[in-house]
Amino acid sequence: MRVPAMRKGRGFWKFHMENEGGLCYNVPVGNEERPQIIEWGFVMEQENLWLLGYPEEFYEKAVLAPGFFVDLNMDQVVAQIMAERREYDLRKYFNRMPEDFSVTKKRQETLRVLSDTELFDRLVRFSDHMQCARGYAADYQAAERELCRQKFLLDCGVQYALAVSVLSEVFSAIRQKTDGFDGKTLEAGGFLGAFAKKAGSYTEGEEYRDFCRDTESLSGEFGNMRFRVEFAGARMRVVPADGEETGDYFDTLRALFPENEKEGRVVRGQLENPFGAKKEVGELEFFVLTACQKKYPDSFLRLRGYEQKHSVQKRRELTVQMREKGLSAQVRVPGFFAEWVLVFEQQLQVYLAVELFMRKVRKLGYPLTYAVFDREGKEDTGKNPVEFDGAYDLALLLKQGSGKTPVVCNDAYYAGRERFLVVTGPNQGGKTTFARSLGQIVYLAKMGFAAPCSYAGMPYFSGLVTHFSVEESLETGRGKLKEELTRLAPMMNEKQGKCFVILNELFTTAATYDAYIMGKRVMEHFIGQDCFGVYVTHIQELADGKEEGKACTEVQAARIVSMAACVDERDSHIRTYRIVRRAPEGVGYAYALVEKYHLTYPELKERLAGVLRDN
Amino acid sequence: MRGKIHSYLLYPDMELAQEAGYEQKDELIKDLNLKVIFQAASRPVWKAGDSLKAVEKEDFYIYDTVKRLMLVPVLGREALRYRQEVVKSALEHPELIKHLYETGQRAEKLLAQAGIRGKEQRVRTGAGSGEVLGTYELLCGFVGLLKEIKLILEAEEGLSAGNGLFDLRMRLRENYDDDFAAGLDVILADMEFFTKGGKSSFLVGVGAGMKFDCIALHKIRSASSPAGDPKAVSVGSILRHMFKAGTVAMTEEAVVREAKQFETEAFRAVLAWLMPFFEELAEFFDAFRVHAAFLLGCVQLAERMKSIGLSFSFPSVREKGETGIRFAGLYEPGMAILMRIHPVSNALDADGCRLFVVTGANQGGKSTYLRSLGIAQIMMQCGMFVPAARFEGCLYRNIFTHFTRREDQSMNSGRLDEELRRMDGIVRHVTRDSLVLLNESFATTTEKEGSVIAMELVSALYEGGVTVGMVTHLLAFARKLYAGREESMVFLSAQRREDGTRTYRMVEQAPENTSFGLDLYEELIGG
Repeated sequence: MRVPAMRKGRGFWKFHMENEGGLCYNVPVGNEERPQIIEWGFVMEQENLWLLGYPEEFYEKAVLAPGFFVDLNMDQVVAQIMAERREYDLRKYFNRMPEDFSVTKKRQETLRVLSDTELFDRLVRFSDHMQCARGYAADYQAAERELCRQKFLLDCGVQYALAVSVLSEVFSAIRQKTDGFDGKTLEAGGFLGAFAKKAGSYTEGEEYRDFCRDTESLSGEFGNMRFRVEFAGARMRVVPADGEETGDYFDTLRALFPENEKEGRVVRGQLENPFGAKKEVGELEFFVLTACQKKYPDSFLRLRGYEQKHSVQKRRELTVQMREKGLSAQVRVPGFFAEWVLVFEQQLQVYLAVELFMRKVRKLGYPLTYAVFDREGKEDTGKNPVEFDGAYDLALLLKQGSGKTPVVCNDAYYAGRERFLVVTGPNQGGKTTFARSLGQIVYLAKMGFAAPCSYAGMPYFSGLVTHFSVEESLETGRGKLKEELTRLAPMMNEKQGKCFVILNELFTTAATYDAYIMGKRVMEHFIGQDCFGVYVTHIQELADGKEEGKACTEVQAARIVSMAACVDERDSHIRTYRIVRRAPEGVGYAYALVEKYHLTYPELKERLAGVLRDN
Repeated sequence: MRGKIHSYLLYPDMELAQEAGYEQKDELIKDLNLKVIFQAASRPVWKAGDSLKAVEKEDFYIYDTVKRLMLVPVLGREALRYRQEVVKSALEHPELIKHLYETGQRAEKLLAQAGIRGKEQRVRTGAGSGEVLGTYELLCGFVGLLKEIKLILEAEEGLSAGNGLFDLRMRLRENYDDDFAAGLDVILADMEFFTKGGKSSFLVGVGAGMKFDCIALHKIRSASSPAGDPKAVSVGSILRHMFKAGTVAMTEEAVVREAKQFETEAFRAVLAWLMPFFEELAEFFDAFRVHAAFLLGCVQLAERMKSIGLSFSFPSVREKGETGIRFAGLYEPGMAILMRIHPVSNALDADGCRLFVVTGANQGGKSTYLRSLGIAQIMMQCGMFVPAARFEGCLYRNIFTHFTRREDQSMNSGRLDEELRRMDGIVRHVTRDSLVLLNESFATTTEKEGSVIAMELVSALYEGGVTVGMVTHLLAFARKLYAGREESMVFLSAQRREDGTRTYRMVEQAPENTSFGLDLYEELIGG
């Protein structure tokens, strides 16, 4: 069976469930004339399985990224992850975190299974075929000439059958790797394991096998068709070639220029269809096809039968634009797609993208690890309940690449009743980067993906709350303070449960004493909610819970941990970007001011570097 | 497998050097007055009766080429010998070089007609039917010119082995042999099916949505091609062919138009196969044009010098690691060509020397001497002959000149500033294997200050391994240098006879305390 070339860059497909069990695909239309909505006819399955743990409706409304994305530079990271599978629109899947511990756990398992390259490559192949099939399905709807339309349905069927066969290879491979097909296996395969059973019963069903037989034999017939077309002036001749004529002009060229192929130059051994850009056949092609039809009447007759058998008539909702174009509400759609395969394909892409992304990061020489949650069986690892070892900022790593300065990894933990890390230290010392890296770990861990650190242990947080001061804001004084408080209020009022909180430079425009009091109260609030958090600040008193004795008790003091950004021991102008547990450094007041306005020596050097280089 | 057709006339293993050549080209041209040499090389010489005369207007292509190539030194001993051999051979066969140059110019003209300037533009072409045709025509033109070059070289008798011209002839025999040429001609003729009408046939399969797929080109035949299928020779046979079973007339305009597009695709695909060869030819001609122009420049310069009665010789290069210079009968060719006289020549035997300090009388020929050294060095390093009876020297990656500019001889601080800035430019680029020629440097300040500056600079350069040639008035500096002289320093002075007359020759001598300005005063104003 000849496989048509893979069709890439078909755009992404969004879909949602309809009441009567139809999936609507919104095809983004470029300049091409395409119907806006394509419907699929299929039988609704009794039991639904979701590779990401939740059905599509769960992600439906998650159009906007969560608030902390920009603060944590997570938008940059996710953009890079999504770029690994840019044929699909995966954004919504990243916009919502799982709400159930079991889902997170199963996602981890699924990703572990995918680290097997052979399995992974097969799933990519499956996706390629599916993309191809969906592309042909759209062409099937759009094509105007009956002959071509029927062929598109056949092409679609071929690709779909290929996709499903690759998929069953995947499942049998998973089956082989584990002993039986019991509950333990399902657990081991993550979500994939659950699909294996379903795939088995689907491919062995009579309906599907019938479809495969039809598709294979008919596509073989068309694949073997070959004819000769001759042009001479205004005349043309079409004769079946039947494989006897093998003369190829390129052989002459090959004989004369053997070096062209040996030197690996790009030389075509085949002609490209000059009308390849158009999806539908052109006038000449149609002219030739009509001549062909007479020569292969049987095949063309059977193609017509194939369409009647394997497509279904559907009613579709017409939009105003479609009505204007005079499109009919009745439309024929491929009848062989199974819903679970379509949804499986979409949700699978998240795993493929994450796996590809992880490979890239690991290639740079940085670890990515799956988090350990405190609900899991307590083996005594000697670790604290909340501990991050070797945490680094993934966004920073992506920006710097491998060549330049290495990204610094830091450790952080919350021992006993400790709840807040208060980070102080010089500007450009890595405080914010440190806070970001912890936030990234919490998000990625909850998503069930590997996190940027060498070890991550944590409770199953219900959410992530961040508050970063907006530096670009032109507002100062009261205006900015008001803006900060307005953003902070909803975070504090909502009952969020056990969150991870990241506060960065709160109340910079307020008087230092006011800022200290306000910061203290914000922290107390979150500690009262049993949250864990990081507080990045210039106010060193915040790091020392005991200092203002009346504002807090001894117990509360024990909940705050001071961490500070280090400078080089010999030269205080050199930053090491290391954040360690220790009391804040007491630098002079004047120098603190200088730092506040970014006028220290290294900062000035950095700022002036661009200017000096020009001279 | 067929090897590539390279020109390789000027280098044994490449077409043109990638290096940009000397660092400060404009300074060299200005200070050594190289324009005169370029002009002489780019003006054809013709016989008028008994004497040779040069055409007044120079050929700008040769002018630019000579200017470009003279300022890129050939640094390897072997590579330089290769260059010298081909130049020698060119001088022996001036007519051959003229023919080759004209052929190269026709390639230039072909490119200009196709509207292609520069390599980038050539590489970019290839899309659109019109441009495809243009490329095809250019290819046909190139093949024609290549045949001509082969004929010209084959016709030349007495071409001795062991030089670039002989090698090119061998390369064409081998890499553009008769079988290959004939095969290529057949394909180029077949391709006329597209321009002059003919037949094309394709093998086609059915792809997605019934579109054509796996299209193979079966045959193409030009209707007018006698080399093609003998059956397709007569119009009758074509007609007979047409009324075979399955033949239909394409009546619809759209179908005819698309059929033409189909043929275009076939034409383009065949051309795509030829493109590497086209590139090869285009690169060959890019280089060949330049090579031929340089060689013709050498031929014309030699003829011009001969017509004035100037002698020249091919220099020998010292072993790597050796220093010093030896020459006899060295003169300044620029002045000689301009004034049409045989100038005073100099000789020197300075084995192992790296510092040459010239002092002495005004108007004594010091600057001319320094210039003649620089010009000879540059001519030697591009593989040319040198204006000397005998010349033996080392190779320098870079040659710098720092001449006092006459046009701005006012004495103010701005001038020293300008001088030092130029010196800074030299110091920034100077390397161990450089030659620095200083002419009256730091004369724009007082002798005392100038001497200090010069002392620091020259000793720094000298100690750094740089070869320095210097003409100076700064006697304090020269005498101090002389007092602490080493073996690899040589001190020269303009010769002055006992009676005060000057010979314009430089002789080895300790720097003396007077510049003989008095002589000049006596000569012009009298005692």
